[in-house]
Amino acid sequence: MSNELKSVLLSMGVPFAGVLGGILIFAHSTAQVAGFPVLFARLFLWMPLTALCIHLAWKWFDEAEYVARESQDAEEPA
Amino acid sequence: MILLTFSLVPGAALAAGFMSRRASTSDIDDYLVGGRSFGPIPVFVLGAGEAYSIGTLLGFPGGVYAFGSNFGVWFIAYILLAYPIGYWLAPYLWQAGKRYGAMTLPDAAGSHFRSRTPELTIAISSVIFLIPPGAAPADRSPGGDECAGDPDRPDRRGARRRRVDHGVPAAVGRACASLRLLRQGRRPAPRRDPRRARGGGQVRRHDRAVRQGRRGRSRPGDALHAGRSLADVHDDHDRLPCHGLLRLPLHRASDLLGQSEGTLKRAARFNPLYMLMYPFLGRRGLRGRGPAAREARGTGVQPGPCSSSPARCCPTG
Repeated sequence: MSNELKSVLLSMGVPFAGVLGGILIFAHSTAQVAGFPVLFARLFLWMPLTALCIHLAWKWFDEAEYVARESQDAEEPA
Repeated sequence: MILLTFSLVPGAALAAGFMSRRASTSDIDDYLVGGRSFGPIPVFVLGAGEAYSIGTLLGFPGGVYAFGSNFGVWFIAYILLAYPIGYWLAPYLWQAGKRYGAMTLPDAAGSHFRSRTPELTIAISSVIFLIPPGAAPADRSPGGDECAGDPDRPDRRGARRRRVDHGVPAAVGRACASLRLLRQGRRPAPRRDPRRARGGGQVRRHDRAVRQGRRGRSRPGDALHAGRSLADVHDDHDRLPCHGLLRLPLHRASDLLGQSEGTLKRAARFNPLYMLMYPFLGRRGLRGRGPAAREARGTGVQPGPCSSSPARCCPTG
């Protein structure tokens, strides 16, 4: 599996599964968390988790490639 | 204090502009896209500034208040899921901008396809999609369609329906939209009755819901979801999904400012964090609904802004 595919799965696949899966699971729930419907609370939880997924995808799979590309661009005469 | 605040912000912006002249080459690139030299922090700040629209600050809590938590679920979910897409899409847009020397997305499309048609299509559709965000907060203000019905009919306590005047927020929203349109050289549409603007569909749905409430046919979770499924909310806001997804290219304008593709990816990591304001905005919307929803369980009154009003402007029986 290429690094790009791994990055897509982590940065996009995991948040989509988490957010849309939560909607399917909790759509009819009337439970509340801290005064919010449980689905709301779950979406709030996925805000930092989505940022974390994108950050990890960048660190683990994308950073090296893009830093190398930036160095290459910097070396090329303008 | 207000005067100080309103003087300080434009003053600081002007000062930053004058200070930046020292490094400027007076190129059009510098003026429109900052010479494509911005680092991840300025790109993030500018992107968040574009995303924090009137729709976020007023439309979201107003929508939750008026239409229940389903509105909030839809609103948050599509924005949250746009950021992973942006993480992948933004570098391609940046590449196109650099390759064609594009200052805007219509520029990039026009140069890429070597045709004015896609350029004009994106430019015009972008302007058109500015209208719903400007009008949305006004449409969703308390006292909107949920109060539609017979204003002279007294409720069980004998009180007359109190129609909350939403003329001022509507005028402000329309003025904002009109200003943006005029800035683009387009003429704003004449004011329309918000009830007619929705084709009466929501009014009919509301009336049907009221009739069902009288017959005691409320569904489980009505108090929480105001008797509306996610599909109903989607249907009610048929204009919003369109602009919500398609106006994304407008937000992507800040992507042309970045130093490199890596800059945009670095900035994209933090984009979902700007949404941490939503719990506070959602709390405001739900707080207004809370007493109405609890009351509705026992009375059959359809929960909403009308049932939370002291005059119970939407009586059901």
